[in-house]
Parts: sequence; C-alpha cells; structure tokens
Amino acid sequence: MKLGDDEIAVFPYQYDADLLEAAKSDGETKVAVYNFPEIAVVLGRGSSIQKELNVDSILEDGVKVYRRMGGGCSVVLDPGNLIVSAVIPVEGLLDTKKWFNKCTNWLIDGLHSTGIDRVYHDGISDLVISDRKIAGSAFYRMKGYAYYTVALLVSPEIDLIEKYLKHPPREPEYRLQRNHRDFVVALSECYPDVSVNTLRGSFVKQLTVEGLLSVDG
Amino acid sequence: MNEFRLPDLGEGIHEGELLKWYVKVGDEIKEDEPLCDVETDKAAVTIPSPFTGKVIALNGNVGDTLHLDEVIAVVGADGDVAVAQAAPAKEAKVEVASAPATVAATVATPAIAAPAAGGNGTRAIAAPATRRLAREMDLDINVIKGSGPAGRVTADDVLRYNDSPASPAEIGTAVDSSAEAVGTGNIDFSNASIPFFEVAKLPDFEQFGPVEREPVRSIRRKVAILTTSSTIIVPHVAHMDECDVTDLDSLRQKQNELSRGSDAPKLTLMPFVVRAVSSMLKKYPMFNASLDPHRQEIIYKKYYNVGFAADTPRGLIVPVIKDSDRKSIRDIAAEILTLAGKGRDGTIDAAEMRNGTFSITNVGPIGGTGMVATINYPEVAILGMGRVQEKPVVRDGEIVIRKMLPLSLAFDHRVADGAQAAHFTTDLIALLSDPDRLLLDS
Repeated sequence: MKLGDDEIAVFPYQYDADLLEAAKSDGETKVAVYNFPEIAVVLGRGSSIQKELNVDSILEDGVKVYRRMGGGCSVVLDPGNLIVSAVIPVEGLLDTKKWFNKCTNWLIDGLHSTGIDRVYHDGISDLVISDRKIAGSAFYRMKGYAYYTVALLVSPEIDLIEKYLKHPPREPEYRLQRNHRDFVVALSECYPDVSVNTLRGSFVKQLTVEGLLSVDG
Repeated sequence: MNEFRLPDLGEGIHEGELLKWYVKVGDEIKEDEPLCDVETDKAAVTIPSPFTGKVIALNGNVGDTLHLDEVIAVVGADGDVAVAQAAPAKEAKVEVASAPATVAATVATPAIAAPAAGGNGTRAIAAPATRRLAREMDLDINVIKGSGPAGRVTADDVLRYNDSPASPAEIGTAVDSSAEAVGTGNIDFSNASIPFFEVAKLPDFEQFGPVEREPVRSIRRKVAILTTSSTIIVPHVAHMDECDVTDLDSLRQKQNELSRGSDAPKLTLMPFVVRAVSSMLKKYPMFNASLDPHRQEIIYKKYYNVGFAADTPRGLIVPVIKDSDRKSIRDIAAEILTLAGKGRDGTIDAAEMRNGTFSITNVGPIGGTGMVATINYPEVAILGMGRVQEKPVVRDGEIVIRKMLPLSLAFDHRVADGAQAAHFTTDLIALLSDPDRLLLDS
C-alpha cells in the first residue's frame, strides 16, 4: 500500500500479480474468471487520482482504491462485475496491439457463444451494445508476457460510477461526452436472463486458452 | 555510453506517454531490469533496459510523450563520466543529479561550437522536443554543442545555434536577452528574427474562477506543433466559392441505391472531391508543391497523394490516398472507408498518414457554411468543404432550388496567387457540377 497524491491509500491489485506469478511459474497461459467481491475503485497504471476520482465521496464511503497493471482510466468495481483476466507468455515486447485485439476478439467470441450476440467492439477496447458500454478492458505488456483484463458490467450499481468517478480525461469518439449513467449499461438490462453467476459458469467452459491463442488479432 | 531508443511496441504504435521511471540518473541498472513504464492507448508497457551500467541521462518527465526510435535513456559503460559532474541544467525536462539551474550558469556556458566539434560521428543527447525543434529548423543537432548535463543539447542551444551559427561574439547577446526575458516572465522570441513577436505570460486564470489544466499530449500536441508552424511560416490566403452538386448528389444516391446489398462501398461526396481535386492538381501544379525556404525553390511533385482530415477518438488525423489520380472513385471510396476505420480503431499506420501532397477537410457532416483551414505544412494548399444545403439560385433567369457545397481553398501565397486559386476553384466546381465529365475524366 502507498499513499496517493490525495492521501488516499492505493493498494496493488493483487489478482493481477497472482495471475502473473502463476504464469511465470510454469510458463503457461493462464485465464481467470471471477466475481469481484467488494465495492472498489481501480486506477489504471497511469491514472491520476486528482483527475479521475471524486476523492471526497471515496473517502466518505471508505471505498478501497487499487491500482492495476494495465493502462486506461479508472473504473468502479462491485459484485455485479464479472472479471476475466489472462496472462499469455509472449516473446519480447512486440505486438502489443495484436495481442490486445486477440484478447478483445476472444472475449467477444465468448460472449457471442453464450447467446450475448449484440456485443461489438468500439473505441479502443470497449465492448458495446447499441452505443453503450458493457465492459472495459486494459492491457499490460512486459518482456515475455502480455496481460489482459476486462470488467463486464453484468449487474453493477451504475450510480456508484457517477459517484466515485469524474468524467474521464480522455474518451472514445462514440461516448460523445455522455455522463457515466448514459454511457454505460448493465448487461442484465440488455439480456435479463444473464447474471454474474450464470455468465461465469458459461465462461468457464467457453473461454479456453486454446481459443485465446487461436483467435485472430 | 549506450543510447536506448524507444523500441517498436507494435503495429501502428509510434509513441507513448511516460508513466514512470524505475531508475534515476546515477543509479546502476542491469540488463532486463525495468527502466520505465509507457502507456499507449489503454495498453501499459514496462520497458526493460537492454544494457547494464550507470544511468547517465533520462529523457522526459512523467506525462511526456515519447516517440518511437528517440533516445529515452543513456546508460554508461564502465569508465563513463557521471552526470553529477556536468554543467548545471536550465532545461527542466531532464532529470539530472546536478545542482539547481541558474540562467547565469547557462549564459556562462558556451552553447555553440564550430561544426566540427560535434561532427565526430557521435549522436547528441537531447530531449525529443529539442530534437523536433532542431528538425523543424532544419539543423543537425549533432553539430550543436550542448550546455546541459553531460553535454545535453537544450532548446536554447538550438535557438542560439540557429541565430548565430558561426559567431560566438553574438551568442552572449542572445543569451543575455533570453535571460532578461525569463526574468520578466515573458518568452522573448526576438532572436527568431520575427520583429514584435512576443508571447505574453498568461494571467493567473484561477483568480477569476475555477479552471482545469490538461497537458497537451499525443495527437493534440502534433496538431499544435503543425498548425503553429504552418500559421507562422506560411502566408495563408483563402479563396471561397460555392459548387452546385445537385446532379452529383443525384448520381451518388442512385449509385448507392443500385449497389445496396453488394460489397461496393457506400459513396459519399468525399471520393468524388478527392478524384476531382487530383485532376485539378495536374492542371495547377503550384497547389501540389512544397516550398524549400533554404534553397528558395518550389518543389513541384509529380505524384498525387490527397489526404483527408478525419476526426478520431484520439484527435485529428489526416490519412492519405496515395496516387489518387490513378484510382477510380469507387476505389477511393473504399480506401477512405478503410483508412477512416483504422483511424477510429487506432490501428492506422503512420505510413498511411505520410507523404500527402494536398489535403481536404470536410466539416459538412457536422455543419458550417464555410471555413478557412490551416495548410497541412509542408503542403501548400488545403480545400475546406462546408455543409451541402439547398439554396435558391438563378438558372437561365429563373430561381431554382439547388444543392450547394461551400468550398474554400486556403493556399500558400509564396507559391501561388489569388488568380490561380480562383481558376483552380472554378475549374474544380465545373468538374463537380458535371458528373458525366467527372466520370469521363476519371
């Protein structure tokens, strides 16, 4: 833990580190699918607390703040989010975009195979239904490894996003300056039968390492 | 000394924002140990050091944009001199282990050497912005003696060298002037030989109300550099007119109806304009040229690469249709769709945005009755398109409703004159107003 630029305690996002260690231990690709257990704010690797967070609300509610390995802007996670992460041993430092695209396509294929077929890719790496974001992802590359993580907004408390996050310092074109509430949508609103648990169950079967390694980038 | 340049991180990734240094100047680093974190879009990358040794220099502060192939760090081999012994620095961008900078110390440091001093094959140490400045001034940075730590070349060194490349006696004057300007809070560009040109210090806006500050980075920075250079260097003139595109629009809509359901790309107005402009550039070569101010020559290009401005999530880009004079309107339409899509996705390659000879910018889909665009330097002209609107016009003595496209041709008056611009625009309008002729011409 270290103190951020507003005396907010910022914790490392341990899930990332654990998965990376697991991949390093045997040199194999690792995939994790898990429910996020608490309400928390997760900063991107280069995120500024001042620019991205409503610090007063976070401090008032005692919300924990983490910093992940991957880039991008801050997100709010809660038990309504389903997280999918992957660590892939990849030689050198090249092909960042190719692997980022592979991971995004792999996830979209996975969603399509579970019947969530209206999802498409927009912005840099958002997963979108009818111009509204249902998942955001981040990517991290270090020598020898690529790390991908995506948070699916299955049934999140969207008001918390508005409460804890400022309008992001950069946004994809399709966002059109919309506030968080108008920009994101819960997957369960689009597909009422989907829950975090049902989707996790499907993903455990669908999101295979073989699928990830074979999908086009 | 070993220079480490920002490596290629992947297809189409040519720059990244510096997030963190893992080392500071004077530290020992081993090969493969983390050197820095760089973020490209949403991907963060930890870049390892390829060398073992003492860190001599780090180029850039957190938040700076680093560019592909630019020196980001210098790692010394055994026996290299530590930076702590170097002269004090004035340039804040460089992290050094030296004492705080003073203007006086900089003044005392000779900034300019005879060309031979740096011409021994060594590469100058300099921040990316300083290299860019030298490039823009067409100077070889490697022959400029740096006044910064470890001989680092600063922006001041470049400006001084440009101002007086062979006269050390004049250097003192230039630096004194600069020091005085720093003292008063203004940036004095008088040494750039532009009389009365002075950039005043900004007021403290916070005293008038809340403000938010955002660093100028990435594409925004590139646009800022390009447009500043263009508007300062190029005497812009704009010629404006309206084009009757009623028949062209009918043809376009009919073709789109006929090709519905096929793989043919949807036709917008842009591919027709690109094709028509390509023909005009052959007839009016002064608009397909560049001006070399140093040789005082106009370079007429015998190839035709028309760029089109595209708004993307990352900002304004100008993809280029290469050899647009040799492509069909449908091919141009398909290429525009492909390039614009790549621009939006962030997968466009830098090569696809280079070597344009003329640019077109279209604000029509958003709105606007006219615009004066900034020339995409070193090109010499740019065509602006406004919104097509139905307007009452007189044809054969009667008032009829026609679809009118506002056009403005901004051009470099050093290379072309108003009459040539008027002819270019009139002929372009004639071509676009007569689709049969345009198709024959294509």
